[in-house]
Amino acid sequence: MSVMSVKTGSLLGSLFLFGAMRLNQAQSVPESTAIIKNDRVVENRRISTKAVKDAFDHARSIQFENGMDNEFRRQLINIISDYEAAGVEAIRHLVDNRSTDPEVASMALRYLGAIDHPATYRQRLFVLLHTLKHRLPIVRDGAVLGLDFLGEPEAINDLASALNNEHDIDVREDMQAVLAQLRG
Amino acid sequence: MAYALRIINRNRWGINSEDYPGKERRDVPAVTLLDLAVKNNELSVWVVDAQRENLQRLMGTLSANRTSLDVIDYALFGLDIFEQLEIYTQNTEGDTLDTYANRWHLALLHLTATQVSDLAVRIWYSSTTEIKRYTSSQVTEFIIQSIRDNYFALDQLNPGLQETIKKKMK
Repeated sequence: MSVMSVKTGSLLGSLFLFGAMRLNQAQSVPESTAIIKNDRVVENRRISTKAVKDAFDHARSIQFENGMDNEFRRQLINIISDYEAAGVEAIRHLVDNRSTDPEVASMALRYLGAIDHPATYRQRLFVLLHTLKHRLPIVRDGAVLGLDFLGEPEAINDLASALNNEHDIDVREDMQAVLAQLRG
Repeated sequence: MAYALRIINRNRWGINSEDYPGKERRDVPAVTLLDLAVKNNELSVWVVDAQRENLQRLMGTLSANRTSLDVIDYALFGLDIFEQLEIYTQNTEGDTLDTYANRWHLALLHLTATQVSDLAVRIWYSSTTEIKRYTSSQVTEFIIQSIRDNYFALDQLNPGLQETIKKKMK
């Protein structure tokens, strides 16, 4: 179990921290992650990776309806509430996994942005920005919609850059709408 | 020309896709039927005026009927499609928080399986159809504006959505 202590005063610093965690884990889902608050490690938690994977697997049978609550959304809220950064990382890992259902991955990103959990804000922002480069349009779209929920102006440059490279008409429309919103 | 509006999930309507099941037969993916699921052989649509002046108010109240803040996707198409498919329509009271907007509700009655599948095909291939999305930020603005215009009240919203909108209004 590794414990990291990195100054987290800036948004970019925090994003760097999360990126470093990802590199160290070399594509494996972390079973333990340091929870850092106010620049110090306060807790290490273990996460049941199977529980997160099960949530994604079960979500394959859900007919997602926009704006309507569902079991998957509730499970993601609980995962992030219980495991914080480790939970976000486990979700990122599954979103990136090629065997994950694309619609489930897309909805996970949307919910990742919508969840009200300030402690994981930077990690969730990182995951959404990272996923703007996903190979599938539906997954990139989920990241865009997640960023809309976060409403973070710092995302403007990444989103504008992604828009320049985006070929899918629907995703482009969403990017333009979210960019307009973020630019106020 | 007035339009019919049906709430959908845009991901099921890949009209802009280069490839989809049934394209070579001028058919449409079966998943679109999920957005045309009938109850008692009836389907709900809404009438939008030609200038679309009631569109945002409609979006506000339809979004307010849900449990959480999210995008709202819709298909907008010509009312003439119903006549072409010999679908029986009737203006009936809608079931949203905005009692005035409820008069824009149109029920499609006595539907058959063929009519529903033909409706999906007509919506998909009609040159006047628009498949559109409002983002959650835009939906937030519609709901807040409707509350400020007294079309409905904040405390009428579902608890989860109410909490989100309350924070956004601060």
